[in-house]
Amino acid sequence: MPKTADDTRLDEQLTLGSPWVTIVWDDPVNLMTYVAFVFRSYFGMSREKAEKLMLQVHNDGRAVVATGTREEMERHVSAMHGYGLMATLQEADR
Amino acid sequence: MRAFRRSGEHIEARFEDIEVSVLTNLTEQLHALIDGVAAGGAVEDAAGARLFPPAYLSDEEAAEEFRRFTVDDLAQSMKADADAVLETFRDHGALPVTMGRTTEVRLDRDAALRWMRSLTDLRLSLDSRIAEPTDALAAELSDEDVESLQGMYDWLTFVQGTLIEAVEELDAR
Repeated sequence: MPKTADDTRLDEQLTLGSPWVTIVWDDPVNLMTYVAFVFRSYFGMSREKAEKLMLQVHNDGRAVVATGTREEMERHVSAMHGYGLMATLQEADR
Repeated sequence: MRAFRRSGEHIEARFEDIEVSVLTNLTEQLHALIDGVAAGGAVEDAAGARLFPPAYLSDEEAAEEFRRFTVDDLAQSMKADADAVLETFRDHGALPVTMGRTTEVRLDRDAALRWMRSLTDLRLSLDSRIAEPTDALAAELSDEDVESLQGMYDWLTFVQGTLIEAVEELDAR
C-alpha cells in the first residue's frame, strides 16, 4: 500500500528527533543507467521514480534518496558506497 | 568480445583471451588496492579515497568513526565482488589464460550484480589513476600508458553498459 503524507509524518515523529537524509552526489564515472538501476534495485523504487531521482542527481549534482533515522541512513550510505556511489548523510533541513 | 545480452534466466557474453587477461589483471590489482586501504594505508591514494568516500561532509569526527566501523565490511564485500569475476572466468575454463581461446560466460542475476559492482570499482579506480596519478605513478606513466589506461576505461564502460542493459531486460520480464 502506498504511503500517504500522514504516514510519512508519523514515521518522522516515531524517530523521536529530527529526521536524517541520505544524499547521493553526482560523479563523472558512474553511468546514468547504473545509478537508476541501483536506486530501483536497492531501494525498491519504481522505474519512474528511480529515473527521476537519477536525473535530479545528474542535473542538480545531488538528490535526497531516503529519509529516516540516523542509523537507517548510515545503513543506506554504506550500501551506496558498496555500489560505488558517492553518498553522505546529514540532518534534514528544518 | 560479444557484449552482454539476456538469454532466458541468465545473461551471457563472450570474451577474447586478451580481454580475460586484462580484466583478470585489473581485478587482481583492485583486490590489492582494497587490501591496502583496509590495512590503513593507501588513503592518500585518490583511487583508495574514491572507493571509500566519507559518509559525513561537515563532521570529520563522525566521518572518521563511520569509516572505522564500516571499512572492513566494505572491503570484504568489494573483494567478494572482485572474486566473483575471477571465479566466473575460472568456472568457464578461461583461467589460466590460453592464447587463441574465446570464452562464453553465463551469469545468473546474483553474479551479474557482483560483476556490475566490481566493474564500477574498476572504473572508479582507473578514473582516479588517470585524473590524479600519485607522484610515483605520474613519473612512471608515459603518454602511451595513459592512452592505454583510457582505452581500458572505455572498454570497461562498454562492458558495464551492456551488462546493465541485460540485467534491466532480465528484471523487466
